[in-house]
Amino acid sequence: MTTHAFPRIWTLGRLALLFTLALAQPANAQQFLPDSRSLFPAEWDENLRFAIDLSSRQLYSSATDNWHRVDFIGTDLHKVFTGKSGDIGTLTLQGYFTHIEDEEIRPGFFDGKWTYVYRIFNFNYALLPRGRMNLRVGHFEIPMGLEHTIDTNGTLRDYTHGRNIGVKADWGASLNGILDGAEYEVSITRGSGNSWETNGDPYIAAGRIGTPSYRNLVWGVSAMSGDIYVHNSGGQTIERQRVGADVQWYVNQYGLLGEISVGERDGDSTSTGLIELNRTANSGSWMAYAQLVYTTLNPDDSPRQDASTLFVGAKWDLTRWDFSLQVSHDLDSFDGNSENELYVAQARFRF
Amino acid sequence: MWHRHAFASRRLAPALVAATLLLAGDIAPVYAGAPYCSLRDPSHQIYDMYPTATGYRSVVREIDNETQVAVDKKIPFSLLKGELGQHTLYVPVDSGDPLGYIQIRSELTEWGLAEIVWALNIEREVVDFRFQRCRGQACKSVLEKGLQEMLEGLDQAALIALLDDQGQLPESLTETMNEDERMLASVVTRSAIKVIAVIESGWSTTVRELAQNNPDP
Repeated sequence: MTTHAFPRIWTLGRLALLFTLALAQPANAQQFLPDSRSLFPAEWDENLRFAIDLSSRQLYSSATDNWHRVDFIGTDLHKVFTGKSGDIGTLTLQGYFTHIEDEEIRPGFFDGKWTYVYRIFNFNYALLPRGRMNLRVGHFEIPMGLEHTIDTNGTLRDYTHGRNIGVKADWGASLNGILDGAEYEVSITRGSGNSWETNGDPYIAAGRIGTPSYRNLVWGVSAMSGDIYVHNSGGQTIERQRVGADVQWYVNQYGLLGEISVGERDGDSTSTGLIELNRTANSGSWMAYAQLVYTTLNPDDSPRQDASTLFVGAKWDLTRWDFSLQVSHDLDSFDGNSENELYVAQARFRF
Repeated sequence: MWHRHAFASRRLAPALVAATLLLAGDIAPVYAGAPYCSLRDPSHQIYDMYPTATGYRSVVREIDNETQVAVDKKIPFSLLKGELGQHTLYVPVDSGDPLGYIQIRSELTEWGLAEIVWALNIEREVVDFRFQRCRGQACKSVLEKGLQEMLEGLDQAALIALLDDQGQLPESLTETMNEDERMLASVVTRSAIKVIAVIESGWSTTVRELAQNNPDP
């Protein structure tokens, strides 16, 4: 349901040329470019934010000595429906035509070089007054760990959803809201990530409760259990359970973040930990970070294995575009996997 | 030959994209900002500062160059380019009746960007404020030294009158504060002046609507 063949003509270079020509007309720019207030009917225009989001990543892997490229062409729509008694709900639609030329780095749900990828695609409906409970339906991030309060979609910086859960966002429903001194979200989702798959009856049940995310000291606890769909496997699933805790502490320009989780993967005990130190510029124009992520797997019938990776990255935010760099270095890897250094650069443009 | 071409285009495309972005940066009319999934309403602060509110209405408007000029005419300092773009004004309501205005302003401090959540009444006088993000020691201590009480109930003219010619709070008002706290208190006071001007210029329809429904303050 999610895959679309994208015409070969839309190569990145041609798109870049198109936008160069389009944007190099300042006198007509207001008429030529999409304007959030003119693209939609008047009744839709109220409380609407709309952007076109273009980005491209270049990756170099030392293990394979190969360059790879990933391109994203997407739209980002955010609309708040409001009434006399207050906001009724928020619609967030972020979808990206995603291009990966090289098969070796394509995720399993890709059917070809181009696939339409849903990031955040949901409606959050206010069920109870004072924000105490909302119902979210659609595609959203699994509420667990640091990722629940820090949005890393479309950035090189990432947390542990991939290692812990196997998917970052999923189709389903959640209850979420604020309580006195706390924020929470509990969800039940399909367990198949970008696409809706029923083979093997996958699912993910997850939840997190934490202190308000605007504070300088934020902490939370999370849990998940599920059978996660394995693409291209004929309906196989992986059974995963986790419980975890996360913390964020901000002082001046620095942030110290950590999370830890323990659980099982198909009956084998496993744990994952992450620690991050970051620094943000006074003006907010750049931030740099270093992360150490480790994972242990303790099978019943073989020795314990450890894997750890160091990530160092930076991101520069300018008016309409941002530029990111990240280097990751495997300090240790599971048996049978080679240790790798991955260099990634990304340019992103939103208007 | 084909391989050489593929290699060249693989290198060329990112360079072309980078050049496009650099060229386009100052031309495109709409500042889209951060991805919208990262937007968070200041719900905790709204219900904290308006404890009788049962909900709030969001009103999204674009702060453009026209608004910037209007604000510049009203107050003695300018909006920064980074403050342009789409912003949300929140109108807290009690069973449908509007109680006032809530808006977040980002201000540059010695400890990075501070996000201040402002609560104003329908006459645009300061009701209260909260730091949504403020990461210096002074962010907590300045509140303990009476900054909220100093600003409470003041309108734009009264707030401007607090500041000296340099846009700083005079020592007579900040005797108990150290240098960092005094600097932050001045930033907060300028932010209050700015938020009133921005709401009056950027959300003039909402301001008129609420004033008509509340003729006898």
